[in-house]
Amino acid sequence: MKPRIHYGRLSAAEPQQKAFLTTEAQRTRRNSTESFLEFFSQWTPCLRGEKLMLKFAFGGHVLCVLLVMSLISSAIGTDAAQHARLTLISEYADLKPGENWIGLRFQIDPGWHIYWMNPGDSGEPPRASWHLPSGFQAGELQFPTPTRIHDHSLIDYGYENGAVLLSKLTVPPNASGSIDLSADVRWLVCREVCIPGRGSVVLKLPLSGSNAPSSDAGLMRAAESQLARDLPRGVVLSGRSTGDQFVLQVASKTRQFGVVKDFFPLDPGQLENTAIPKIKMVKDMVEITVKRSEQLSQPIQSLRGILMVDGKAYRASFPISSAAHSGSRASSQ
Amino acid sequence: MRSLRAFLLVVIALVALAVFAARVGEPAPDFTGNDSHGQTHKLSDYRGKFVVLEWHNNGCPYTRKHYESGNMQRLQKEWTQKGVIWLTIISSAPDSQGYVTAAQENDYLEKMHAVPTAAILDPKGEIGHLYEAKTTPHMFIINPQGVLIYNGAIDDKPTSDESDIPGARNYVSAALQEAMAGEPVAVASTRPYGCSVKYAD
Repeated sequence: MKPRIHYGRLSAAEPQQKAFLTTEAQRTRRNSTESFLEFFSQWTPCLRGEKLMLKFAFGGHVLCVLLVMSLISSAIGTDAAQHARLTLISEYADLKPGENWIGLRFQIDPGWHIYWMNPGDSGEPPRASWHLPSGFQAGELQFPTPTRIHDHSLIDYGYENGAVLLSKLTVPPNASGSIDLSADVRWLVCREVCIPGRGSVVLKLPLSGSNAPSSDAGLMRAAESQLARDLPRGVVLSGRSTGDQFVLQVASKTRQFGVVKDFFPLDPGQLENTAIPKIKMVKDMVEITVKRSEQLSQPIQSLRGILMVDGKAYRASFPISSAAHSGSRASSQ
Repeated sequence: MRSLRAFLLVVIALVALAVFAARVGEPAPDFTGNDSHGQTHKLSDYRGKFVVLEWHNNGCPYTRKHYESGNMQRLQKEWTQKGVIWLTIISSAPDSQGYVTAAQENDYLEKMHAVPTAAILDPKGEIGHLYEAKTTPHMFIINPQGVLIYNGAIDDKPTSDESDIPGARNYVSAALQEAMAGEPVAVASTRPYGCSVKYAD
């Protein structure tokens, strides 16, 4: 697969029950159209993106503009490489005043991935901007537990195959009729290469409050069950910085807290993602050793993350004792 | 016996790597590389000048954000005019995204109006691994004494969206301004953002 500059833009529409999608993604796959563009661009300076229209306006390069336009339209027709398809889904077939879960569902091609809220060493998380009737409010996107994705010598946090990112929609008490929910979403989907994706999703739902589950109820409930929850009372977190490591401790007074299996850092840039957390029991406590990022030049007061315990995700914020922040290696010069 | 010797060699190599890795506040590891015009560049020959290293992959959306907006070219022009040596380094392995021949890179530089001091071709990833360059872009700054004074992102907006550039704080310009004024670099180390460097595995 050879790279270079890519001029083709794609769009594809995938109609769905009650929801539809239009997406635009820049292709990076090399194909004959692109090779020709590259070849062509070596012989003419006319392929310089934003200046195209300007040149058109000046009357020159008309032929070139026409040629480029025909090439781009043929690219749209021949390759619908999307790699990630997006739909807006709801737990129920209708809305009710108060809180309702809605979700952005990504279906991802094999081998490709999108990113968690902390993308790890590269990449970026999907972002949504909502268009809602007045009085409606969509809460921040809530991400399910990610997996570690090896990307050359890096570790990223994200999702392969698919993910549902949830948002809590607040419907005002006086709302009625049929409601159009829509969002403009940007994401990055990567395999060997990364492609920025952008799409608008729409979902039309009546406000009747019948509480009938939608056809996506199973997906929505599975996503809700994966959301991080608060730690049970009686679980005490502590942490300290030693050398280039943080040692995090989980103590449970109730002894009913399960087996800690993993830890994912929430804030980018605090840990070396390639150093997998080491977890062991020390007396009655679980001790998690993680490696401090070499890019972290300031001491930190807390280390936030997701603690995986018996398959459930918990929000955890470990206070880091300031007694020993001697681990800071990087200094300001 | 032979395997023991091999093991020891590996250990020594790893220790050497760890010792020479790029750390802010420490001497920048020296390297020699060939640019797209066949010229050889040795970092230590630039002692007495500021040197910027820019990891590059022309197909990566994050690199494209800074080139298609003209942001990277503006930085290259501004700082090379002030005497800074700007080395664009391409560590993509052959057959992976961003790999270019010398001729392709020269075409690219011309087409994009890019004006680094030189574009160094590092298809074996030797310079990339020496600096532990993670992403494209990933920026490093070395001061006239040969000490690494910045390692990290180009700016504080980790997206592939061109519209984020105007409101971003550019860490490279900030560090160069501060260092040239004889001040300490306030933000000397950040998390780089972008695509992974496409090293030969």
